[in-house]
Amino acid sequence: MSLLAPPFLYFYAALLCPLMSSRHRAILLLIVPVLGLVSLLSYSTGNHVNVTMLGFELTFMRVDKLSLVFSIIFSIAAFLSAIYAWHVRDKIQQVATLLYAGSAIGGVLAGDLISLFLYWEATAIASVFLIWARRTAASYATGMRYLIIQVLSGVLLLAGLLLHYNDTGSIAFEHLGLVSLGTWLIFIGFGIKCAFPLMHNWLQDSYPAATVTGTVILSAFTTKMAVYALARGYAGTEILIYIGAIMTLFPIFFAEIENDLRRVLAYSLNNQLGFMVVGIGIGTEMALNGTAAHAFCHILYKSLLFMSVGAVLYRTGTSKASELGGLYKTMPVTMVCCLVGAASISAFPLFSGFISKSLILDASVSNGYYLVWFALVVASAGVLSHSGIKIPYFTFFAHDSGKRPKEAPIHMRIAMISTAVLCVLIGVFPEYLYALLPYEVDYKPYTTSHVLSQMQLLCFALLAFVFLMRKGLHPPEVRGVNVDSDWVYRKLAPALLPSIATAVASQVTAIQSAGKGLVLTIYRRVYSLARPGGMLAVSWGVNSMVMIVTVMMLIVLLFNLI
Amino acid sequence: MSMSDKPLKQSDNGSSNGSEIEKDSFSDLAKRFLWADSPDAVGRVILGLSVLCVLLFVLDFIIHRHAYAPGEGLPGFYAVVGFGAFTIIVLGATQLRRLILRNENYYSPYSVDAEEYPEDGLDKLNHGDPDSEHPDSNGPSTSSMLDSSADNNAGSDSTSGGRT
Repeated sequence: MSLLAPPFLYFYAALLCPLMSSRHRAILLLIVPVLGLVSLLSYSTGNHVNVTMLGFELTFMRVDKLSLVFSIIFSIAAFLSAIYAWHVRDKIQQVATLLYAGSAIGGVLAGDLISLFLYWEATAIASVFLIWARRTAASYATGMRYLIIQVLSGVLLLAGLLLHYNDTGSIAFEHLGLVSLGTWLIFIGFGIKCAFPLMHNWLQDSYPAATVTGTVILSAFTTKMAVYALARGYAGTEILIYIGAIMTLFPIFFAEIENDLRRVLAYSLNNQLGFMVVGIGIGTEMALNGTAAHAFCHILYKSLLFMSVGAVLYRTGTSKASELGGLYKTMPVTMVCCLVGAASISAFPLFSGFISKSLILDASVSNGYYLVWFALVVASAGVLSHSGIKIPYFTFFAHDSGKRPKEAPIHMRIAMISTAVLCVLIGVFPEYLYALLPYEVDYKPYTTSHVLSQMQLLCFALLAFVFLMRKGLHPPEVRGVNVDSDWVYRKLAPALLPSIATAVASQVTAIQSAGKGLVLTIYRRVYSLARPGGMLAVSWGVNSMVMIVTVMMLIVLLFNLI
Repeated sequence: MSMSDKPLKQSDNGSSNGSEIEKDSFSDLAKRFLWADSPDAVGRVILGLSVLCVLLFVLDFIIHRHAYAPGEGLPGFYAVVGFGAFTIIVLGATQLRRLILRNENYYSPYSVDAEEYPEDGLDKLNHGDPDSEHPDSNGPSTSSMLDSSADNNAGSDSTSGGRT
C-alpha cells in the first residue's frame, strides 16, 4: 500500500511517460490524478508510509483534515489542467507536470520537515521546466530567475530545519511559531514561496513567461503549498495578519495598470494569497477554515481565469489587453467561462469566492482586527477592479480589436466549463466544501446582511467603473512594462555591479601594495640593523655586556621588591 | 458589465461594424451578447445598474444589516466604500503608472514582455477556419511541431524585438 501513496503514483507515471506515445501520454496525465485521489481517500487519518532514513524517521503520508483538503484540491487541479493541456505533445512539459503535481501533493502530505524539504525543492525544479518549455531566450532567463529564488527558499528551509533540529531534536512538522532563528528561517523560506511583499516578484515575473498550459498548472500548486505550510507551522502568528493585509492591497495597484493579462492574474493571485495569509495569522478555527476554503475555491477560479486568458493567447498569440478586445463575438464560451471566474474571484453571491472569502473577513472582524478587516473590504473592491472587470472586459468587450479568433479547442472548453461549473456549485452548495474543512464550520454565508452588503460593495464598485470610464479617468491599456521592486535585482544591481567590482578591485590592489610596502620597510629596518657593520652585527666588548646584564638584573630586582 | 468606451479610444471601425453576414456566422451564444456593440443597449444596462444601486442603497434603510465593525452599520457604508475604494484604486494606479511605466523593451532580452509567443506553441485559427486541433490529424498541425521542438530549440528565432 505504501508504494501506492498518491505522490509516488505521479512519480511512476513521470517515469513511464517518456516511453509512451503522445496520445497515451495525454491519457496518462488524465488518469493519474484520478488514481491519486482514489489512493488518497483510501488512507485513514493518521501517519502512513514511515521510512527510516539515516537515522531519521520520515513520514511521507500524514493524513488529517488540513492536509486532505489541500491534497484533494491539488488532485482536482491536476485533473482539470490535464484536460486543458490535452493538445500538448511536449514530453518535457508532461513529465514536468506529473513531477510538479506529485511533489506538491507530497509536500502537503509530508509529516516531517525533511520530507517537506525534499518535495519543496522538487516542486521548484519540476516547475521551472514549464517556463523553459516556451523555448525562447527570454523564458530561459526568466526561468533561471525563478529557479534561483525557489531554490533560495528551499535552502532557507533546510538551514532553518537544521537549526531547529539542533535546538529541539525534532524534525516533526507541527506548529513551529517564531521562537528561534531556525523557525524564522523556515518562516522566510515559506514566505518566499507564498510571495510575501518584496519576496513576490518571482510570481509576476515567471507565470506570464510559462507556456499556455504551463501557467495554468503553475498557478495551482507552489503558492498554495506554501499557504498550507504556513497554516501548519505558523497558525496564529500575528505578524502574518499584517503581512497578509499588505499582500491584499499593494498588488491591486500593479494589476490595475498591467497590460499583460496573465501578469494581471499573477498580481491578483498574490492579492488572493493575502486573504489566506490573514486567515493563518488570525489562527482561530474559523480563520483556518477560511484559509483552507479560500485556497480551495481560489485554485479553481484562478485556474479558470488563467485557462480563459490562455485560450485567448492560444488562438491570438497575445495576452496583452492593448491588443485584445471584442473577442466575445467568436469566443463566447471562453468569455462566459471567464465571466464565471471573474464573478467567483470578485465574490458575487452564488459564486465560490463569496462563501470562502467571507469566512476570513468574518474571522478578522470577530477577533477585533477592524483595520485589517477594512483593508480586506477595500481589497475586495480592488479584486473586482482587476480580475472581475479588467480581465473579461478588455479581452472580450471594450474596443473591437478586429481579431476574430476561433473558439477555444474543444478540450479547453471542456476544462473551462467543468471548472466553471465547480465554481458555481461550490457557491450554491457551500456545505459540501465546508464539510471538507479542517474544523467544524458553524457559518451561514447566505444571510440577508451578508448578501446585501456584498452586493452593495460590488455594485457600487461597478458603478464607479462606469463612472470612471465615462469620465475617461480609467487608465487606458498601453503597451509597456511596469517596474516593480524586482528592478533592484534586475536593473540596479547589474548596473552597479561593474562600478562595485572596479571599486573592490582597486581597493584590493591598494591593500596589496600597502602590504608589500610594509614588508619592504620591515625588511629594510632588519637589514639596517643586521647588515655587516650594523648595530646587531658588531662585536660588543666585555665591559658593555657586563653593564647590560647588571642593568637588567637590577630591573628584575626592582620589580621583585615592588 | 460592458459598456462603450468611446470617450477613451477611437474604435477602428474596420471590422467592428462588420457586415450582417459576419454576424450571422457567430454562434447563438455570441449573438446574445451583440448588444454590447450598441451604445443604446449599453446605456440601458448602465441605467439598470444605476437603478439596482439605488435599490440596494434604499434597502439599507429597510433591512437591518448586522454590523460587527465600528461604522459598518451606518447606512450606505458598503456603497461608499465600494465606490470610494474602486475610485481611489483606479486613480492611485494611474498615478503609479506615471512613475513605473517603461518601454516594453526595458528588460529585453531577459524578459518575455517584448517577445512574441512562439508560434509552435499556439494554434492560431480564425473564426470560420476548419479545425486543425485534432492532434493526430495529418496536415500542418501544431502538435507534430511541438514534439520535434522538444529536441531542437525552436525558440531562438522567435525572440523578436518589441514593437511599440
